[in-house]
Amino acid sequence: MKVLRSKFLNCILSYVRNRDELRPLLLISPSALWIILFLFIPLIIIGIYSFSSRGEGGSIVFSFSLQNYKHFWTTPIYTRTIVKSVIIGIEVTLVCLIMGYFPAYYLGRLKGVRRVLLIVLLIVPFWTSIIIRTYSWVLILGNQGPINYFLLKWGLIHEPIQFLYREFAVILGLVHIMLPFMILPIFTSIDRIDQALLDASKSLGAGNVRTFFEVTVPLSLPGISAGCLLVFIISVGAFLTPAILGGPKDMMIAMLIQQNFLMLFDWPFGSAAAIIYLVTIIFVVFIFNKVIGLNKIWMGSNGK
Amino acid sequence: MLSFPKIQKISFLLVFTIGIYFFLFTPIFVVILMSFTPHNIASFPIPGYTLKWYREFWADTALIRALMNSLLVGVCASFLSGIIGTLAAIAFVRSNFRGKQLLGAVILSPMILSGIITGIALLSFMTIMHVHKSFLMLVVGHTLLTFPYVFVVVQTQLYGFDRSIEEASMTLGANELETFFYITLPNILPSIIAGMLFALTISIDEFVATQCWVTPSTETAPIKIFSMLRFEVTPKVNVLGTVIVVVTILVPFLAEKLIAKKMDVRLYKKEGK
Repeated sequence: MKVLRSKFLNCILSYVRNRDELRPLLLISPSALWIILFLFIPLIIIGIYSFSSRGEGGSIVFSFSLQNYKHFWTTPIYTRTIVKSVIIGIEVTLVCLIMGYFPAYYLGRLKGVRRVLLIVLLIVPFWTSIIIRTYSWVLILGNQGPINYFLLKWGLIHEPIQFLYREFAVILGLVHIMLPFMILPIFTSIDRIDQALLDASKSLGAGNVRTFFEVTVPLSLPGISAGCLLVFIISVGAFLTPAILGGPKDMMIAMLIQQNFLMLFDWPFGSAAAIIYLVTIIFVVFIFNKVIGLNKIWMGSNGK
Repeated sequence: MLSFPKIQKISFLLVFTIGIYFFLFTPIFVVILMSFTPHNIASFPIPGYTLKWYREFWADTALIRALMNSLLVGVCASFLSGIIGTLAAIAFVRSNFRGKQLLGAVILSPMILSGIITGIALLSFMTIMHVHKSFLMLVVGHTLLTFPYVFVVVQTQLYGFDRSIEEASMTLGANELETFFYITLPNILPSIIAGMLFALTISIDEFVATQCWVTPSTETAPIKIFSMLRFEVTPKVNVLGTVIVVVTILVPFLAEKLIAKKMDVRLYKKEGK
């Protein structure tokens, strides 16, 4: 039996070996199947849903009309979700860039054990529950949390500041989650900068500051753009942070989609919102590609 | 000699970096600290310490079941991800085919798309195919979310893989399958395991897409936490959070240690033969 099986396997193998084009396809087919069957075909279906209308009891009546999109664009509460998502995405990206660049630079310049240790430390929060880390800000920023406690105790304020359930808390929570996504790519590109270039800059008379802004920063651009794109895209689709830390005004597009699919059972409208989200993301990547070029990022990350 | 500005001199950088690390770790410590608070409502300063919430947590069968569900889904999904992610990585590193770049981008899309999109996509698939929500579909979904991580991690190691040892194995008479199982696989195993651990922690933590796929009997820990945040915020949430933090940090470390030991033993045995 065993011999037979191995004969059978060898038979298949030799068949595959003779067709070099077939082998990668065979290897790739499970993952391609997964993605196409469970993500891409359903997304096409969601596209079709978005032009349909809602029947009784949450059923879907297939038709072709733009009413869901029209409804989205003519109702300010809905339009605001996508606008808010993009604005929060931009704000989070900028804050992450400012807060992340210096640690990335510092890590890039470190050598030896301390550097490995600090990078591992950077990945640890990455691995710990997002929902827990987000919820923790409720404890920290709350009226009875440590920040308000110390501010009150030192007499800086007379009543607790309402940090929670407003845009500030959402941005803080998102920055906290997204920072490693900004630091790591920038660190990688700073790490690649040739020491000789910095030496050259200095021997030609530029000071530390000028060398930093005219040599280091331009050379770390691939990392900066990779980090910004990543942080922006993930932030725009955030669900948990606005749901836990935001108020009613901070509803983002992912929450609107979730609400329509899981609570209101208005799948056609939820689908339209999902398509609007996807188009926004694709549009941003497209613009990004035109202006900065995605190739530059790949160059940055592959070293060639 | 000219060199980079000495780090010790630029204390601003050091202070700033320490600040950022403080910012990253504070929430984790606060949750752990607050799991010991005696009051029902978390307030600062903490008046004392108690293990009451840990006992209550242990007695809460629904919570424990949610945690076990999370682990079970995570283990199943990471094994599936390990297999299909590795196969895809091998194909990507070792061969060129039409549409490779496009397919690469497509495979990575679950990593950056909002979880809600993956969630409603699989939900629509189930609706159209008349498949009920179940544990199996939960595993299918989590595999969809996590295999790109295995794919990326394994790819990185495969790029640095020295193929001459495979050629050596083949010239010495091993067939392709033997070469794969005795030479290639043991060599790329560390990255496969790393990728699977990544998959495991992401699966245990996933909420946004999972909420579209769970049934009351397959509720996972994050789903439970989220509903607890809505209805009954007690320090029990912090206990569950602490447990998840400990699991997601400890499991990778322990697994790495254990697997490294086993691998050593196996290698020694082979050498002894």
